[in-house]
Amino acid sequence: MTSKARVLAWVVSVAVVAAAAAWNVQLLADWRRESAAASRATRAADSLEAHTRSTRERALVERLRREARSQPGVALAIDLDSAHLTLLRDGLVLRRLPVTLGAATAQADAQALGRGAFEVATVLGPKDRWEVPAWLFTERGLPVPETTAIRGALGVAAVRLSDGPWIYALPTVGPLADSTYTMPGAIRAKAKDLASVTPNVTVGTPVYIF
Amino acid sequence: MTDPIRPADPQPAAPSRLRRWLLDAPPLLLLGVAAAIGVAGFGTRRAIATASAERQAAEARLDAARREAAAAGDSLAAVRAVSAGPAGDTAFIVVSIAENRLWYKRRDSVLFTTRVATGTGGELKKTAGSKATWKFDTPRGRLKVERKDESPMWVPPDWHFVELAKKKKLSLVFLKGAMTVPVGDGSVIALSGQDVVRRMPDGHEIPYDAREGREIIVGRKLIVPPLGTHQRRFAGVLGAFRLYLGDGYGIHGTDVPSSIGRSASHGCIRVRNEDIEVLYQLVSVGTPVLVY
Repeated sequence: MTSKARVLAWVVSVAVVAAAAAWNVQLLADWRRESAAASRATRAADSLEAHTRSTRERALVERLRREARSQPGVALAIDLDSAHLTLLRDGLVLRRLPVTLGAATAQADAQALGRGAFEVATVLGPKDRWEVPAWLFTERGLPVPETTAIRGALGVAAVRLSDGPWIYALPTVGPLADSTYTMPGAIRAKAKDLASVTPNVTVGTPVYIF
Repeated sequence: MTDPIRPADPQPAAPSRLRRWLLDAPPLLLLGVAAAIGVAGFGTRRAIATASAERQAAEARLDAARREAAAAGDSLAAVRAVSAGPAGDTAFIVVSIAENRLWYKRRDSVLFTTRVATGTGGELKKTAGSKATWKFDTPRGRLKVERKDESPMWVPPDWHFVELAKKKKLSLVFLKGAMTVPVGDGSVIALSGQDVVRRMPDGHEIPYDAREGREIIVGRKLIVPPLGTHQRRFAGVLGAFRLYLGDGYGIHGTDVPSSIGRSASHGCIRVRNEDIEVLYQLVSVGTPVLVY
């Protein structure tokens, strides 16, 4: 190959490589642009969806709060954010009392407290027995006794809601007789507070948790 | 003639294979590199196509999220457009039977609160051997202030006399019409107009001054004055004011201040005399009274 031919081959080769490189750089830029746009849109969609979930949650809370305040007759309202139970009649606040909320635990066979509209399904008094679930003894690190139906295990007063959660008073007997513990998925009030509220509720009384 | 010392010019040596390769190969190598870059470029194009599809999907999701967000915002606004409680700015009274406490509130603000006495929850048989009873509960529910009374007179219901007779082991005589009850000294107890009087043998009549703790008792008989007579109206028992709630119930003062804070009444809501003065000033007719 002559020197001239070699020079030409060099020039052509370099030109081809440069063109290929330039093409590839362009492609990479395009890819980066597309990827960045996809990423931006995904982040924006994630953020917007989170905002929408939050807005829907707020709308649910506001709707339930308003339903409770517009309910004729007696109703209970439980505000999960402020941890308060309110007794209402015709939307007017009769009594507002602090409560503690039992978070769901891995061991507990109970669901986390959910927002929604419920009804009172059961009302228990101080002399009523409650069949304490076995998992509660296990969770409290106690042996499961032969007889698990304990009188007053839910305190002087307790209300079970239509979907399962309990509102109960701190008892003096049984595995729940511990002021530092609240049954998972349940709502606990002071005995005196709840005793003043439960005489006013009956099966079917609306309960709003928001 | 050749120079024996100086060698003849050598023939130019043919480039070695390595040198030839070095001179000729780079362009080929460069072309190979270009080909590799080209192949990589096609790979990048596929990546671009994938990224582009992802972008389009993400943008479609973003559009949907925007619509959902707008709908959720509208939903929240619609909920918030509804009033968050009973209409108006009405004040109301709340009474807790369990805690024997009264609150006067406007919306969620407490304007006044005090201890009260509410019904004992006890029962009293209407007549001996009867199953019918009076139950001394303060009624739970929604009442309202029907009227406001100054210097209210207490018209004791029958249970007051039944309770007193039981306590003092007396028999009851419900005075009515032309009935007379002999006192023993020749005089009789009788009705005269709107008074229960002691009618002397000479016809002279002395109206009884009956009030709580000074009921008309003759021997072992407790005389029950008929409704409407002056002797069935006791002053001072209900304090200076009463908020009448209907059906015989009311919020009133008391002549037994030590009963406040306990379940001690026959169903009415008792407050201290100084508290009923405050409530009388604050509360207007029609105010809801919510007892729980």
